[in-house]
Amino acid sequence: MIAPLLLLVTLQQPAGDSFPHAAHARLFASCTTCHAGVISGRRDELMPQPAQCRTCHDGTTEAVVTWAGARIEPSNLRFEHRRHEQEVRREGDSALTCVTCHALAGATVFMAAGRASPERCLSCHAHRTADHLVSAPCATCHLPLRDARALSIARIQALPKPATHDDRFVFSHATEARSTACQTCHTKESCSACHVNAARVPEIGALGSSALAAAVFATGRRSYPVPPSHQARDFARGHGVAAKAPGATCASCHARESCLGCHGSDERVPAIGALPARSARAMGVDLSDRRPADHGAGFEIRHRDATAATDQACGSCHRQQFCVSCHAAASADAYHVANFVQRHSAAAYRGDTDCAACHQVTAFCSACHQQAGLTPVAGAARGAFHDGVANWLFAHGAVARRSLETCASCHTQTFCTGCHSTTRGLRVNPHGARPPAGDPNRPSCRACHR
Amino acid sequence: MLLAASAPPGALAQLQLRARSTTTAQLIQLRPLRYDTVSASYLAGDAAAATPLQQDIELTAWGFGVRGLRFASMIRLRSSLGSSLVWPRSDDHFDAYWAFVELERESWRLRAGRIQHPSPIIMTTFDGAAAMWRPHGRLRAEVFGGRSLVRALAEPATTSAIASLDPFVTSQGQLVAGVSAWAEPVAAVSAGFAYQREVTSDFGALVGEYAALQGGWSNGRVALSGSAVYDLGHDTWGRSRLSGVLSAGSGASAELALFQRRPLFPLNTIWGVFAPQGHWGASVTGEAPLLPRVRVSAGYTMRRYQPTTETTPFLPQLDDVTHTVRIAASLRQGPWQARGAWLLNLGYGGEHSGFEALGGYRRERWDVSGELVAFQESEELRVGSGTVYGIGASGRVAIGAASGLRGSLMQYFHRDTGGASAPNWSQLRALIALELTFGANADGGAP
Repeated sequence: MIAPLLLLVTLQQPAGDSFPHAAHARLFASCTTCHAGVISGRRDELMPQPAQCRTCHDGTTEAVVTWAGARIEPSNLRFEHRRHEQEVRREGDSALTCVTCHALAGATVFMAAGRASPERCLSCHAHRTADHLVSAPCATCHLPLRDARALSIARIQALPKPATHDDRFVFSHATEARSTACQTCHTKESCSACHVNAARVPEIGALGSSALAAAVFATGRRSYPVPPSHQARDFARGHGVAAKAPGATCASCHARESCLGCHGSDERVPAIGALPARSARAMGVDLSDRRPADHGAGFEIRHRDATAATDQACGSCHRQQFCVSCHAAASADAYHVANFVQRHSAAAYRGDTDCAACHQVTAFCSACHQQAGLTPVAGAARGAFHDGVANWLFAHGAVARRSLETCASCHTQTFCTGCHSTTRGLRVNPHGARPPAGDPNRPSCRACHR
Repeated sequence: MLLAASAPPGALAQLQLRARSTTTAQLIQLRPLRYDTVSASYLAGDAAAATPLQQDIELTAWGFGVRGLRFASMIRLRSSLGSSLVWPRSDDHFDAYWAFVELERESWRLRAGRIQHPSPIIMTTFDGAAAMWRPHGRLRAEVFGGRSLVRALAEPATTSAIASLDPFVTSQGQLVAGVSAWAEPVAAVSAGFAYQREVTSDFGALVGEYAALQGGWSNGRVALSGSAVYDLGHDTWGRSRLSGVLSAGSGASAELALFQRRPLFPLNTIWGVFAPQGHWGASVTGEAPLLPRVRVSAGYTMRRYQPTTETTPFLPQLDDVTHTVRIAASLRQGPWQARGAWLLNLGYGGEHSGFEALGGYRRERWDVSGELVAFQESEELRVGSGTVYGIGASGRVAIGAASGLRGSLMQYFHRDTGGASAPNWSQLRALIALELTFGANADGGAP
């Protein structure tokens, strides 16, 4: 009877039932009258052509009808009626007929048929799990995506997402990726959209390639969630050890350029050199503008403490030239705000940025202050700098003790010893209440005490 | 050159060079103050422009046939583009900041030549040698020594750059030697020590002697760190700082810090015996995401100075406490970013408040931004009072894989001049810098 109709080729099945089967009940002796392709295996005979309708609907016997024919939607099903029938016979399940799969639910009349639903398949091919998309042997029914060439881009984009593929799945999918199940929905283009090392991973290569999938994954912005291990406060500081360890997986997400955002100088770090370069497809994690957790606000002031680990610790991220950009003066456009020179007096007075660490006061500050007209002018009633305080000469001591570096930015030592000396000038004692400690023969003592 | 000449035959086939060049030209308008004998006051002169030109060349070479052997140097050439005004240091036409030969193995490193040595004490530059030993990643020790160069100047102590300005400066050279160690005995616990001594080149006088301690602990959420520098020459504490940082998982963090400071003066200057008074202070800062793409931060710093010890009828009304407040916010939406900050300084001999806002558009290969600034100063001990507004723009464009061009332009307008002096800070500032990288891309493979 109609059992043999379980043939067919292909990755194709009817999309919806556009033919009024019920209205034609008992008009046809068998399903294969119209669906001859199920037996012959010919795709063009799988569905009836509109011309066949006109055999009866010729305007005389029956009214002329307009039917465009059935449209066959491409799918990735691995179903072939002929092979299926052979396997059924081999397994002795002769009760399997067209009706078994195509009869409508609860139908009791002939030709109450339609598209076979996946549930019918599952009535025999039961999964060992409640979730159709989880841990199922996909290959039983589905072709790998690389071979499902008939699928449209829209169908690929609409492939359902298993419940296991949640936000955390990305961190554990490496072990799952060894399963052939991945091939059902993924080609290597799926992976290489994120994995900068896709070409080096055998599991990814095994997925095969598909031009359609490549088109799907060529667009869209990638996001790289931060692994739990990377969220530790000190991860940046110790990540080099992990990166150099055997089996390091940095290259899954990081291109060479990811590292060079910080390691700009480290030409000779093998772990960086070994990373694949960024490609147009997989950009890798963008780490530009990232700072270690301890490089927060004000770090430029307290960074000297970090150098206790020797310059090697700093040198992991900073070129030595980076230090000179500040510690060489007159070129630190990256350190001070653009208009800092116009309002640097507060910072200089407090010493919070330790000007002398980068600027040699005599050679740098004095030179500019002289040029700006801030230094003493012979014949002037008072200096431009101290115009806010009358009788500055008698009042300067208290201010000077709090910010001697500020004084030195205009005045030479000789200027001060003009008064503060035991041998000349006004012989004013500059030492305050506490005599200076240390060797009295040092140069600073001998300047006044002969 | 010597390295290349001494390399085994054929070894130079693997020689690789990498050079980075940064050419920076600036235009800085100034209006120098001039004393007006008629009004007996200081007035701002006409605008003149300083036009410093700076050329940095950084060169690294490796592949001499000996594993771990390399040469590294960084030199700076300076000049001026024809202006009569001299920007600081632009009349010093050549400096070599470092130029050393390095031999490095897994557990040790040797350097010889001109070396820049950062430490918790100070950045020291010297001509000599340094040896570092690191048996594993959690322990490092280093010794160094040689002819000391003037701090932040990269020139010998006898340089005319200082001697011509201050005849008091010693005519003797200086030597420096030091040792440092750092260890992380268990994860997230670290400690460091550094010691440094400078003497005159005849070993006849001490110039400076310092020791520093540093330690830190972190459990991921809380980080504590402390550091201190002791000035052995003056027998007093230099700087010390103790801070605690609390980090929240949401990206929020807060820091509380206590600190103390007294400047470190070399013993061959008189400043250290002029009874300098230090200060201590505390600061609290916080940073948190306010909205998904908005971050805000705020900070307050208080400094307390020792009460003035001198009493005179002319003593200026000095505050013993200074305050600094800073509030900032930033927004990042895709390639767009904006940030703004407000700052207030009180009690440093003047009052200062400032505001700056920046908006920018950033792509991988280029970016542009615009900036608005305004600040106001009311000076008690300084040049004068005034309000300054500024507007400007900056930009950057990448050239090739590792080169780029950047520039900025700012115009400032000075209003409301007050005080006996009449400074005028209205000025134009411009910068353009070309950064080029030549030679081997060593990142492409491990040597």
